[in-house]
Amino acid sequence: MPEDAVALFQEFRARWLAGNWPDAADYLERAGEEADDLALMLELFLSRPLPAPAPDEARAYIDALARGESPLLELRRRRGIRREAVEDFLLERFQLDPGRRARLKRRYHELESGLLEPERLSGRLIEALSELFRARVRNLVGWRPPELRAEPAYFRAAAAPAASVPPSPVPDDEEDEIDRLFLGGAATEKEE
Amino acid sequence: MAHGYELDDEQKDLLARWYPTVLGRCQARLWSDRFAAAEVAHNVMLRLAEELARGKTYAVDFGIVVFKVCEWKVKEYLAGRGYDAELDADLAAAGDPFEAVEYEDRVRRLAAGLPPGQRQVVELRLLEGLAPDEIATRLGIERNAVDQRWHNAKRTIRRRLGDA
Repeated sequence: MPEDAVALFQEFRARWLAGNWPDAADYLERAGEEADDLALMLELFLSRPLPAPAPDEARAYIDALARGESPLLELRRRRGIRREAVEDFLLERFQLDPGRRARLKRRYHELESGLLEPERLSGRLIEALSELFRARVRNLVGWRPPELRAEPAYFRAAAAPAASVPPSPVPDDEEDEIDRLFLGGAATEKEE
Repeated sequence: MAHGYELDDEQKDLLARWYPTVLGRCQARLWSDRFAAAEVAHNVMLRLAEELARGKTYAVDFGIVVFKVCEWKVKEYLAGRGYDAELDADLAAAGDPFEAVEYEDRVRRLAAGLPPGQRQVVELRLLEGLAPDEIATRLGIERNAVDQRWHNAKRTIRRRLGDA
């Protein structure tokens, strides 16, 4: 059910001025057909930085940007989470077959390396990772490594090459739940 | 191989404080595609980091620079091509969108240049928070007329924001 744009804007504004960092995209989704009105209100409002120190998530993002590294990798480091722990978390969260761990490892590596198209990630995966990293992962997954950033993704006709990813011992000809999580996009969400 | 930028802690803090605003502005401008908004925001931050890393200084408030780069990158995305403007030249012609930083001030300032009918609708919608039906009742006009005025006003305001 779409929510009233004015009420959403007032809620967003109150949270912003309280020093939080509400995600504008979440509010715009909630606005439904009033999203265009809310977008204008947000645009008029968002004209200055937070008065307080930057949120930790923003600092992690900038540190990664300065180093030319993946912001998702930087967040994981900051949270002190090893990659194997992420895999464990996802295996349990989605009741994945432990025998497919190698494929999960490869897909997560691709995600963290900026080699997957963000539109193809499932909402379930993004939600799970956001919970694990205590961050809005959806805004970080569009990062591309500098060597692939000759021009922004929206100017590219083809998907990013994955040639640098080591080959997986798992055959690629069989789609599984891991592929649906990492490559299935929003289309698979309705099947849940 | 990582290709980063040599930024000191002060520069990183400056960028980190602006990042939420940049992301929010890009999301507001490109609200139908949050992934594109995040990528455009990232390109804004890359441009800003690059300029700070090479010691660029500005004769205007850094917020104005942020505002202009956001506009360029959004235009790049919407046009589907690079937007090669000279930052200094563009800044020289820029208005100061931060002259009145409060939301209400910005609304009033932008509404002031609208035709009276549109201005009324903008003020009732954005400042009093009335729904279109309520505005129609308040002004004693048809709902369609409210929608038309609101649509035209939004288009004008967005154009002015883009030109600021």
